[in-house]
Amino acid sequence: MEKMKLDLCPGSSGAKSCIPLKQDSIRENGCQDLEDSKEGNFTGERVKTDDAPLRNTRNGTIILNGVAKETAYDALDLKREVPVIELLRRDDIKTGQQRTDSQTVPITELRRPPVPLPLPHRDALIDARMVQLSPNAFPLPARAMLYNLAQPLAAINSLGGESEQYGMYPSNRVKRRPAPYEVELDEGRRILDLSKYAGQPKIVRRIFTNSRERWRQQNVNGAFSELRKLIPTHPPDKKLSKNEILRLAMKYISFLSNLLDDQDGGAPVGVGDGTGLLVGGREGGPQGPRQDGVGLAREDDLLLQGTLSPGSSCGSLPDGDGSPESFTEDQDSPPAPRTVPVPRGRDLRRNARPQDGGSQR
Amino acid sequence: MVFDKEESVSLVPLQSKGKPRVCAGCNRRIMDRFMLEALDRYWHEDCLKCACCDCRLGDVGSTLYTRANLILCHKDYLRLFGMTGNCAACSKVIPAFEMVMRARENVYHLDCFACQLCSQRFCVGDKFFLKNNMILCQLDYEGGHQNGNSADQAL
Repeated sequence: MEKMKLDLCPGSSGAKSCIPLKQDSIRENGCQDLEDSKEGNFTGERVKTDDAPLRNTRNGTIILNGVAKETAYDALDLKREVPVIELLRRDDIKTGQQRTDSQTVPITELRRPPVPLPLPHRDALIDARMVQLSPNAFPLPARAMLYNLAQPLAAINSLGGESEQYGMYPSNRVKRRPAPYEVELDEGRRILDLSKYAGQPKIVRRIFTNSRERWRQQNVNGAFSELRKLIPTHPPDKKLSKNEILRLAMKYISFLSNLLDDQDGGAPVGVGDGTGLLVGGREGGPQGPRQDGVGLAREDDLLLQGTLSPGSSCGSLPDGDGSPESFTEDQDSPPAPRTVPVPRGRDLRRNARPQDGGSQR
Repeated sequence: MVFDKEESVSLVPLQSKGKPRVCAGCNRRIMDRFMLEALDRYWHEDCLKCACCDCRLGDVGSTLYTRANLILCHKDYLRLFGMTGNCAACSKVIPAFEMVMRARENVYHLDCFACQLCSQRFCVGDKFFLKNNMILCQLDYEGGHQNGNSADQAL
């Protein structure tokens, strides 16, 4: 299969990359994600993965000329102006970048951009010839950049047929013959080194930056989607703008927080004696018997017996004037001044934390 | 006193005679043609909303849930106060508002309730079998049964 696909490359137009090899492993997803925006000839499925990339790169990182490096590592490489290939100690770069990358949200992990380049778990020699723009810590964006770099360059650079083979193969796990890719990279390197491009670092940098920005945007959008899944709306699949997602998330967080405060203020969880004793200074609410709660025994009630203190009979609407929770304000627009309902409804939450200003946008 | 209750919500027309009702949500008179009656009060259709998802309770259904001074719709009530468990097939948490399938003591996501060998979901009326706490369709179950397995439990 690989062979077949490699043969397809020469036939493809210069602007399009070769059909990426369908991978057994799931790491090449990302390159497909990148590519989909440009071409539709992807066969693989879009597997979302955030595997830690490329642990096997234990060799020194080879950087293209200074231009490429700058785009890859703003922190370190900007200081360098070496226009030729140089071997970098990966550790130097790794320490700088990896820390930030490792501190991703524990729940929703930022996805690493796809790895378009072959995995450098081959021997060092091959690695040396591969263009690795970044170490393990922050490898993929750079590789993605290179990946996309190749195509625009191929378009720009109307070299011979070899430029058409610029297409990056998303394959990085399958050991295929590296020759074409390395050849391309060699070509690319040579091309980049040519005076033609040596004096036009801006183009390369721009392309890298575009790719990196695209990857960053995808990451952010993915995070927004994850957050959207947690926000209750009606209907559940209602489309929310990013602004709305954020505001509603704040509102929901405040809502839950207040809810917890109220419950905890009434009685500690776990007090299941069923005698209706109140614990602590429960404000407001008459401390009547708990018949209501018992009478309504349901699975969910039984679970929260501890918190079902009569004190939460303050939850009885007549006391609170039946005003709905103040969180029912309009979304995404400054709420109309809530005068009457809110104060009344808040009586029973006197002990709650002061209402977050954030929910009253 | 109301503690946790399902309440009925009913749509009532505005009476031409009689005193105008005051909405319990905004404390203004209800001049609309229709209003909601719930919890012994009257509401604008727009005022009786779920505290969590902000849906209009008049549109969603005929019951509202109240707890902790909150008016909730059915789904959100369960979302906040419902009992959750783990799916016996995928071991992930089941939100309280989701539909589940039950088999003996096991609970499954609706999507997870399929034959665990052939991944085929069941139609109404299909027989399913529990073997080693696995869900099997009739074919898979009998396929194993005919091979001399004796330690199964057929439902």
